[in-house]
Amino acid sequence: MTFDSTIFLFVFLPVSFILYYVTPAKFKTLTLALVSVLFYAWGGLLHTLILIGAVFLNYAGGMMVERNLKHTKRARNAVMLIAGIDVLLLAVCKWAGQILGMAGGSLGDSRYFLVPLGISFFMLQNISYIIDIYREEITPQRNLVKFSAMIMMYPKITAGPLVSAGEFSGQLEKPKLSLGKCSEGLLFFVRGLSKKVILGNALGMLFDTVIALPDSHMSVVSAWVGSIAFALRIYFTFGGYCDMAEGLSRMLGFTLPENVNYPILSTGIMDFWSRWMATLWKWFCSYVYLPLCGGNPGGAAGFLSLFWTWVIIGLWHGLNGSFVVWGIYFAVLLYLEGFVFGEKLSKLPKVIRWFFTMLLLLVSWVFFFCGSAGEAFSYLRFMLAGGGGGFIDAGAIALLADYGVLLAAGILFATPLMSRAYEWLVHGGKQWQTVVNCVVYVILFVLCVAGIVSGEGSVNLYF
Amino acid sequence: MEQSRKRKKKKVYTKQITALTILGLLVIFCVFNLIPGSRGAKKPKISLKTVLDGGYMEAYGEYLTERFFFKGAFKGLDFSVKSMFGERESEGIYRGNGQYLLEEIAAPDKSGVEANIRGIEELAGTYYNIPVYVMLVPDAANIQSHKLPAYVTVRDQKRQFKDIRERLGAGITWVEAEKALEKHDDEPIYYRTDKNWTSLGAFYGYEALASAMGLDTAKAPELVPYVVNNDFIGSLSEKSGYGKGDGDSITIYAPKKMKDSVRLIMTNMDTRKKYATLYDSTKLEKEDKYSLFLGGDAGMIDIKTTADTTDRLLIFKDSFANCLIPFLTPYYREIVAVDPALYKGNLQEIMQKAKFTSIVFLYSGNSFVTDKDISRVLGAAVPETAEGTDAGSGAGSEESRTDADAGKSAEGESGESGEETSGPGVYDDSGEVSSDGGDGGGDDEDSQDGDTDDETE
Repeated sequence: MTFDSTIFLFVFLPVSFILYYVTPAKFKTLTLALVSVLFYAWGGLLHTLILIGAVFLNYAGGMMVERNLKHTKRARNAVMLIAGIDVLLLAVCKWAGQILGMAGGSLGDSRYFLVPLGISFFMLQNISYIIDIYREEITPQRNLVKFSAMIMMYPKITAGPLVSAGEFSGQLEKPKLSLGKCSEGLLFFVRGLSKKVILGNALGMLFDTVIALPDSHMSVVSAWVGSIAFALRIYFTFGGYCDMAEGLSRMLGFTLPENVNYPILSTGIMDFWSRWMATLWKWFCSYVYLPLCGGNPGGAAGFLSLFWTWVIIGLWHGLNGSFVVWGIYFAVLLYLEGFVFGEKLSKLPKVIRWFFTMLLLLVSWVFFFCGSAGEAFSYLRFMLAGGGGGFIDAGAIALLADYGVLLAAGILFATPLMSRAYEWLVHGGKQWQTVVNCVVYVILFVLCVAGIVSGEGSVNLYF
Repeated sequence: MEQSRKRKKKKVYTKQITALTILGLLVIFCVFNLIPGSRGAKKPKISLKTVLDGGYMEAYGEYLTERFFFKGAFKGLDFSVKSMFGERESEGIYRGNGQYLLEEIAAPDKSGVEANIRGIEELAGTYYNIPVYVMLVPDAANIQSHKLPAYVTVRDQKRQFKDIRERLGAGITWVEAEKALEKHDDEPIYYRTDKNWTSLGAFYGYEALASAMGLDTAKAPELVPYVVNNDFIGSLSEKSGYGKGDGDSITIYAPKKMKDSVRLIMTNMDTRKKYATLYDSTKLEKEDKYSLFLGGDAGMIDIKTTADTTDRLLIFKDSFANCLIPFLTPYYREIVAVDPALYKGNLQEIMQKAKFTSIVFLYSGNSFVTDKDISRVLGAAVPETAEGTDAGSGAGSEESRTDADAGKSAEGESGESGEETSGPGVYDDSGEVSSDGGDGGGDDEDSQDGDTDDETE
């Protein structure tokens, strides 16, 4: 079940919220855990059994690690064992279907081998929970219901953000429910839904058009349009999901950390990763990169740590050579920015830094959307020298003429300009402003329903 | 300070009112959604396996979407948004330049094409003394690809045709419709909003077919086009949802001199109704105006003419043939047109109808490569042993009967109607020759007068 589906919007959402709100305060966590299991179970009962098994494993594992904290070696072994099982489960769930498919058997096509929804984020949370206990940053959650709700809470299971147990368990003790927060949450959700369904799907349509061009019709301009379309599409799709997650969480009385913050404004690669999937990079920094480099990020050892961290991040995205190259690309860029050209770059005007950052990011997305490293390098060749279409051809001109409005709208809405202008226009608190606000949100919601009902473009890029 | 607090309170108020409005809308949608929007949606069946692997839940989600109330209206709204954002493809149809709608070139169903080719070859082998012609008409996206958006590339239909041509046996004659149409690719040879070719396109196709079949076109009457309708909106418009714009013109070709016309009787073998014309003017009042030609698609249509020949033609066809067949009437005593998609009988029944002297397969490229019915009709009927199955002897006993029938029907019956029945004659719903043939002629005149005065050549 995804947030942009009829079953979620018109069945699961109302039913789960009615249940949650009518439940007495002390049972709300139990309701939250149960509806989260139901949300997950919609993807298949077998996958849910894996999820529940992992919940029990980590619940018991957390307490086992705590019991052995005085015996460092035993505690470390316990962490290695439990986190190892988590990693193994993640790898099996994510890659089994792909490996079986590559082996040529029909087994890989079975629904049992589809990647379970949200497994990537779910397992990372489990691992961080166990390691945090080992680091004595948190104490294990002894209440199984609270632990389940904390790990499985459905708004954040599909696309994050990754929330540490320390951050979340406090909120879980006393959800802050109020009309104001609930209203804000609902509007947040509608905004996220609009980003995903209206802009994300439309940009997907443009991207699909470009990617379908044969080599003989590919020009430099078309190739860049394709990459820009993908970058905007993934921003609106994933960013939309994060907004929806935040909105739903607020409606449930919780607050999630910011995960996406206008990555189009990034003026450096590090800046980008603090604006795009910020909680993911923070997670890998905290649990992979920093332990690997041992507090010495510079030098060869530092580079190798960064290298292996990004190889793992690449593989976390998918078992594909192009993801590995994508990871290595970022490892190199981050190292060069942080330890080689750092000072020189900071002296450059902001606009130049922004321009080159965008250029490098557009190149990085090529490795993300191409099926293999070979395809990615071919596409990069088109971006540099073009295919049969040269620098620009009639196809590219027609593309720009037809989709120019969409591209402009995508770029504009990816910046805070539109949002701020709208806030300025509508939130003065006057009556007409309230009416305008209502009309705008109703239009957005109806357009989203139209997009969902027509059933196109519900492609999930990250989970 | 006080003012700022009031302002903040008002902002919260705005958000709350908006949220309540959205909540209200959500409730309305939920309530409406309890009412099934589409009776066609089928509830999925539950099983342990599908619950375990999630297949049931996915199917149930699709079912809910399918039965969503006012789904058509929501789809239309979504279509408008996508069109505004620049999308020029919908349901496999491209919105081309000059408001042309062009259907995507279909992906061949390999096993289906193979079976069709095998069926045609077996037919040609069995009835070896009857020449067999295959004419595949290219679709608009192939011939008029310059009308597609410049960044769209469609499947290579030329290659599809080449493959099919190469795989057809030596005894089968390939008719080069593609080259014939390519010469006229800047003319209105396809409708703007329909997948079919226009009468002009069909005329060029007829020239190619006549040339391949060795028909003596010099003896054929001189033809002139008559525009019979100017507001034809084809099926592609409705299927894709793209704006209708101005209607297309439908043209029919008729002999310049009425005395040159052959008389004919057309029998729709599905309904057993007989008509004294090939054009059903009543269809011009309906949505599917292309059904003007031969009265629309039918499993089998039998046309008997007064043409001075004993040649008989069998055509296996799709809707593209409907506007080409009128060009062939001067050359055949009888034309039997079979649409395998609608025909329920088998080949033996067809071959017993008459002693055919030529067999033509006339399909659009998209229809042929996705068709599963040609092989069904041919396969079900090809005799198990070719030996002893002589087309001539098989149908020989029928010859005198069919000739006599043709003569009686074409001359006698139309004669009874008291009107000359020629190419552009039309008929109405009742369709009986004895009483309506004359009316048809009258309609014909009306339609020509009404619609074509200014536009005919």
